[in-house]
Amino acid sequence: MKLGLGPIPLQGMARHELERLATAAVEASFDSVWVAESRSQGVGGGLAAAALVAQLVPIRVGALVDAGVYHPLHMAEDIAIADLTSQGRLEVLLRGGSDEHLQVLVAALSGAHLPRDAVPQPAPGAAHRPDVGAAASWRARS
Amino acid sequence: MTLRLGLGVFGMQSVPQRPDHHVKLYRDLLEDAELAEALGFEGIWLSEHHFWFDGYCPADIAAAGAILGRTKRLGVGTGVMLLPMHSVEKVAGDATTIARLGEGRLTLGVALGYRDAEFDGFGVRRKDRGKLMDSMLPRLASACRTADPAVPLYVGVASAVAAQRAGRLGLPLFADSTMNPAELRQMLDAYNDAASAAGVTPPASHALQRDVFVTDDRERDWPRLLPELRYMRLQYGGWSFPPEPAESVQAYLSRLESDVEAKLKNLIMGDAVEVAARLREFASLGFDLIVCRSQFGNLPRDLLHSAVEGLGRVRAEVES
Repeated sequence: MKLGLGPIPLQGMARHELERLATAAVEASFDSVWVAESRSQGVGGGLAAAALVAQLVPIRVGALVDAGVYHPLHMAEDIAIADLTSQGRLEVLLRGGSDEHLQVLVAALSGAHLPRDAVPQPAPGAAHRPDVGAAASWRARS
Repeated sequence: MTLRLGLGVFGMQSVPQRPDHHVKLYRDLLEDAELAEALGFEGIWLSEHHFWFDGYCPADIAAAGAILGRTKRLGVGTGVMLLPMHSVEKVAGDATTIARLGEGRLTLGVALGYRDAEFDGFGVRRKDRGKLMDSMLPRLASACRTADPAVPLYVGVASAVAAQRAGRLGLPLFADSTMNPAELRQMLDAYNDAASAAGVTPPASHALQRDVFVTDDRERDWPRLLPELRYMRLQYGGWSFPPEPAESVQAYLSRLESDVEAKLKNLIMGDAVEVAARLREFASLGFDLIVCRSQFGNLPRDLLHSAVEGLGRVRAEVES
């Protein structure tokens, strides 16, 4: 069995406090330390924060991230960079999101070639991405 | 005006002529950030592109998080994020959290973007990018201004029209590396006129990106530098100037080569004293931050470090 400490809410979290908790996780022999974003409260950056924590401690780092509120390809890109910079120590837990979001995310992370029609596009003639409907729920621009 | 130097932009590319695994490239980036901090640079700057075969960095704020974790004083900037392909809420949510955890060391630069495949990939029509920027930029500026700590926001520009948009909002510019002094003056005039017409007091100074290579032996370093520099310029040129309809392949390649040759002339190359003098010319135009790009493609590490250390001597010279 492996044990992780957290998730540590990022809302209002100062660096020195996050560093103290992450270091405490190492000293207590946890296998990983986790951070949590909360997009509904305007607190994002879970994956970037995990990338930051990974530079402070040698153990695995986890990010609890809100799926379905922005494009799954951006999420895949954030995951890839956090994983690369942490040299493969990243773990991710998704909260929310549609099946479609998950399918695109997993396909992108697999390294598969994504045909353009596999990724949802805006309606023809739409000047902006629609932000209605579950399938388009990550199109947060309005 | 005190001139500050930043290091970048870094694209994190595994290039065909010198391929490296991206785990190594990002490990190198973190080492380069530590070197930049030790040499006293203002910050290190990242670049963003998507869906390109060489793995160009697609997620600047995630990479910035790693750098901010590794360093203690160094600033980190995005030079630039392609805002119309993102959502304001996502960028603002990421940036404000990372600015707090980075203790105020994150700076955002955002711009339109121009490569069709990237817009297509995110389901955005390239022709809508200006309208999207008009609606997104004020909201992002507001979020950056009210964040604690505030997140400095620059607008990446390579044209007068883009500068006018920034001018109407009173946001500072992050000028493209390919603009010559005459073009920069023209753009700043358009910027100031737009700010004045909007009743906005613009910032007194702006940021500028330049290709800079510091060396005491040009003859020795040029043959090693040129393949990487050409790769970078050919790539950006191909993205910026796609083939015209009915244009022959030969004609297109010839046009592209002309663009590459023209842009190579913008490189500032020389010893520390020569480079410092050239950079001061831009300071006199109204740029107090110059982000110096010495990593083109994927330079050999010894060559890059030699140039960065030379740039550190330039920094000491121009900031004194």
